[in-house]
Amino acid sequence: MSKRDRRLQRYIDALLKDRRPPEGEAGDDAPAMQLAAALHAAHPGSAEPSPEFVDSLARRLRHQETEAPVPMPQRRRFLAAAGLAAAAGIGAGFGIEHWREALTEPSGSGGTIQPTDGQWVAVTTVAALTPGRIHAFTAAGIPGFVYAANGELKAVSAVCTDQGCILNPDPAGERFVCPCHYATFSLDGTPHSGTAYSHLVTPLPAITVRANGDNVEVLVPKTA
Amino acid sequence: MSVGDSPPLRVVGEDTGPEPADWEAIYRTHVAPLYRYVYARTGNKPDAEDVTSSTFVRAFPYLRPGVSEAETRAYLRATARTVMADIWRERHGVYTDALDEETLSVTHPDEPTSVDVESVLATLPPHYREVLELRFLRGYSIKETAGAMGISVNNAKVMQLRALRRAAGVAEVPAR
Repeated sequence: MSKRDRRLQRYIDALLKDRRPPEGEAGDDAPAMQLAAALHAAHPGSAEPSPEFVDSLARRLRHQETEAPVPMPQRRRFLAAAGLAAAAGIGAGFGIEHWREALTEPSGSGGTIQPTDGQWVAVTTVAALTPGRIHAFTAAGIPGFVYAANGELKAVSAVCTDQGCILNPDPAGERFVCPCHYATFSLDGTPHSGTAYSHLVTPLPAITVRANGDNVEVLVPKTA
Repeated sequence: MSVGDSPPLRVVGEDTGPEPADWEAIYRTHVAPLYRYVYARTGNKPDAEDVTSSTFVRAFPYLRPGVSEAETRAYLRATARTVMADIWRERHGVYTDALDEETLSVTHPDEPTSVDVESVLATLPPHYREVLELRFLRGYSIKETAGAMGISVNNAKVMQLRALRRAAGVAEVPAR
């Protein structure tokens, strides 16, 4: 198999497991990839949204309704997407202006929070971190999430790298969602592509974590 | 009911929270059709959920009574196509403004599916059609597909790629 074959193979493999396909230049295989997506979607019974998803999105929208209108982040430049309203077959009277983010790359990895003068602070117990459970904590003023995955403890910052809002785990415990602009992050802190601003958002910093006897401890700055 | 001049009370359910706002009825009408529309183009649940979410978040100000259902649907779909075009650009380096309605040979703009699967498959030689049916429509593994077709696993792997490219009108050898 050529490199090109393996790339299309990986794309198909992800779809058939109903997973997000891996990144990689599509080249001239783009139509084959799009057809693969359409074929997989024709698989009976796979295309319905889960009730959990529908309800969780309704809650996000309800939140958006009660909060102030979502502000356009100031540090970004936007480009108007020409012709979108026309493409949608919407009359000019409908008055929609559509905005699209300028091309900007995320600036590197989130790294790990490394306090110059640190202390270990217990935030939960090993026994409490059953599989699938995400524990939110604040230690020395640093909000974070800790969980166990494949027998290893992991901790990440709970501060959205976009504008500093505090993230929430989604109900399924599969990702973190920002209440301000709905950026989403994998549990390991990687921003998801596909959400509105994701390509502008950097990964969440990791927090050093250890098991000390029964306690789960994180490394945070010393407090006065 | 109301006493004197006090405003009418709204009924608040125990578990369901406040009475659904106007937008919520509109949301409930459109969320599943939009999800199906997006799923037909992304082919996987995480992307379908993210695109559907981003679309409603962006389109939220337009979920209001007085806009016809057809207009709302058209706006949601156009927004979703923009979100998906962003994904293709970021993830796969594919630049397209109005993703996919023209890219695929057979489209039905009013249907949730992007492709008429039957007609695409019908154009293929029988073994190509079979490998795609088994893998994509019946969800067979590569091993099961190879077994059902009486060919080797490696052959099945190669054949599904060739079948897909043929069906999508992509050359087996990239043009340079």
